Amino acid sequence: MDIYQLIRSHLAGPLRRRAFKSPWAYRLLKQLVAAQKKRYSWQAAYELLLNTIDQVAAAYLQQGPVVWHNVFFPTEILYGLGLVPFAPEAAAAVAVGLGVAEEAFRVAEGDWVSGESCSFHRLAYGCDRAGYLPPPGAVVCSSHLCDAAPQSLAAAAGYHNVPFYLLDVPHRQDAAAFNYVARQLKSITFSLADALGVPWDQERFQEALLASNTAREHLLAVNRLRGQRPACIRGDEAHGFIYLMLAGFGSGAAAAVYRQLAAELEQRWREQRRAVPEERARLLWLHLRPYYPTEIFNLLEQKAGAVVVFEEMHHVYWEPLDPARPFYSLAGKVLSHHGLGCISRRIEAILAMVDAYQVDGVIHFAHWGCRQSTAGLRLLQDALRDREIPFLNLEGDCVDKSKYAPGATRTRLEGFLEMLRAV
Amino acid sequence: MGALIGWFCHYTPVEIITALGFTPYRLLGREGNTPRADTYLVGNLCPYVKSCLETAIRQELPPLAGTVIARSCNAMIHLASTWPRYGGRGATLVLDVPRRLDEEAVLYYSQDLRRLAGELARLGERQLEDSLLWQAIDAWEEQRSCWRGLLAARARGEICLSGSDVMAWLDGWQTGMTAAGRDKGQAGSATIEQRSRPDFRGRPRLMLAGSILPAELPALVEEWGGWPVCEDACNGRRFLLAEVARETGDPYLHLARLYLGGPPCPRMVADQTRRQQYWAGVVNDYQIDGVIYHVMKFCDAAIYDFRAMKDFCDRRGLPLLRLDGDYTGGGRGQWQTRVEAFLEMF
Repeated sequence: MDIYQLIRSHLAGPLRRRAFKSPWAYRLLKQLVAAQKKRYSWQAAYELLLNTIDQVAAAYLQQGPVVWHNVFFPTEILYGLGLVPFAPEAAAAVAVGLGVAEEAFRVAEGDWVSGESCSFHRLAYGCDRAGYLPPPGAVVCSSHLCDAAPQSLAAAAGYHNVPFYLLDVPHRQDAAAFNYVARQLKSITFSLADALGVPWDQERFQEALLASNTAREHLLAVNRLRGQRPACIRGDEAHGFIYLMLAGFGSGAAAAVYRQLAAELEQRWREQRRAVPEERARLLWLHLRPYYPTEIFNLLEQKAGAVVVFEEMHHVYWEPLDPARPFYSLAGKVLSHHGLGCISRRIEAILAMVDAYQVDGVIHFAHWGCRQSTAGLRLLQDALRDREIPFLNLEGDCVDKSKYAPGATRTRLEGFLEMLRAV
Repeated sequence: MGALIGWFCHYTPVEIITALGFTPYRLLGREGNTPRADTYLVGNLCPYVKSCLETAIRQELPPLAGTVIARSCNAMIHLASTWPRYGGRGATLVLDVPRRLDEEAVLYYSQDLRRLAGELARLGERQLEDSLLWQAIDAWEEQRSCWRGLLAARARGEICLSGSDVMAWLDGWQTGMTAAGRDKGQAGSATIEQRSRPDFRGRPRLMLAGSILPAELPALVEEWGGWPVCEDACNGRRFLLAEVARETGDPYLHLARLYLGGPPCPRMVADQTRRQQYWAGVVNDYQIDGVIYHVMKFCDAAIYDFRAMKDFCDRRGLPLLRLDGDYTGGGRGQWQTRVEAFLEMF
């Protein structure tokens, strides 16, 4: 082996890990991003990136008690307590871009987390064991939608020897379920505060709920603008904002980014600046997208003019929160998720999106191992067929690029586009 | 015998079914592939769930007046959506099972059980009175106690039972039990005692663990030279729950405490300390020499539970073997090689 290659292989990992813990790395990164401000086609994306860097820095530099959470846990509680939220599933998506995925997958599989499980969690598990993630002070997780998240986060809590709090979410939306979730949320909130030595601040907690409501209002404005023809933002660009849905609600930053995005969309709409030169079809995207380079969006949007006008993940499914009844209203938010319970709820929500965004076709990205999203697709497919809406179930993996088959993906997309033209 | 009510997950309180005059019938799937179920549920979903759906699509089940589906994991949640349309005939009733054991969870589960009882009552002609439910609770506890006694004697080495017989009898017992017929459970255990006297002395004493165990696994392990003495699975030891003090008053609260407080399933993710304590108890009581963990394909709970089991075994110095399986009865050749190699370690 080449001596330089050998040295690099020994140093690359430790250096990368050390960079995460260096304040200089974040300063440098922010300066690099700021230097390229004008190159961002959306200033909202630029702001989102700066805020995300700050949030990541806060976690790695341990600027406060770090709490790991899954992406469906109501983060308003964490922001309301003044904690530093960190979502390992979101970190897994970032890990792909940083080039540590292969190593992390190897670590996870070597530790018996088999390839049959969700690769987001497998990747997060590997990143954690390889020392890439900031150690948590506590771990919180909700049980709804996904089986892998509670299991992998409970394992992480055990590994770091920190408290684990499970929000057990039933599938009904009756009064008993409401009370059960609200009581758990209250108990988790005060247990977290106790365990992490954070003083309870009613005003700060209410501010987080109000910030969540403001973000919700701005997101609704964004969504209304995306319902208009022609589309002013490509799905490829809009996907980046999903991070806020998963980890940002309750922070002032989420509200600011959505406000900026709504303003930019409004302006482009007034100026009739189209997302693509000729909008030939409008698509709804279900679940997430691959976080490594693929030609999917280029094929759909740039070449075929089939714009992804909305993503299921951006659907606002909950009512505004009531700061006077924080835990009950957060329980309402959790229980309102359209993916919870019988699949008929998800189908109903998707059909409503089909109408609201005037879509011509629906693509579901079937992420390997995500059983909550993929298992009941046959019923969704039947419902869309009844409405004569073309549907494509595109199989792949959001974070494991070794599962990406460019040829097969292209063939399936081209077939789908032909079907759209025929409709 | 009353009309049959199908059920899947061992957190389903069969007492409510029998108290209403129905006969609980556990759905355990079938051997073989699941081509028809595969068209309705994706490939990488729990094979047990798909196997059960396959039996329904192929109309291999006896007529069921209804089916209770406990939404205990993601696969079951999807089965609950799919079953009424493509699967079973009769009513589909769903039950939410908490993933934790505390007073809030017990209270919520008891409320959901009461709701389930109301829905089940509407299928039959009988109104469910608390006194009838208490009778059913007592009848089932008597049977479980009988089984627990038998397995405790097996653990103490007083009787020598084959794991395959235990599993076969437990399977038979779960599919077709009447409230009044406690004799069947007693007769079942007595028959095992009389006829099963295999001489496995000198063989390594094994715990077989997993979410749900394929019925043939204990027999195969015996055939290859092991001695399964405890089956930690939802169709094995876990189904027998654990004795709890009888509460006066609300039978639903009693049932909620009984079921949530039983040996924890891998899905009880907030209850992992108790699961480890349960394993420790089994290893001590049953003098376990080694563990074979059957990881059901695509079962997220089992994948991570195996990790926890590995840590547990490492701490205790217990040999551990992982077998992956898809519940179809396939993969025996590979299992044999691996089990024989594992047993050579002893």
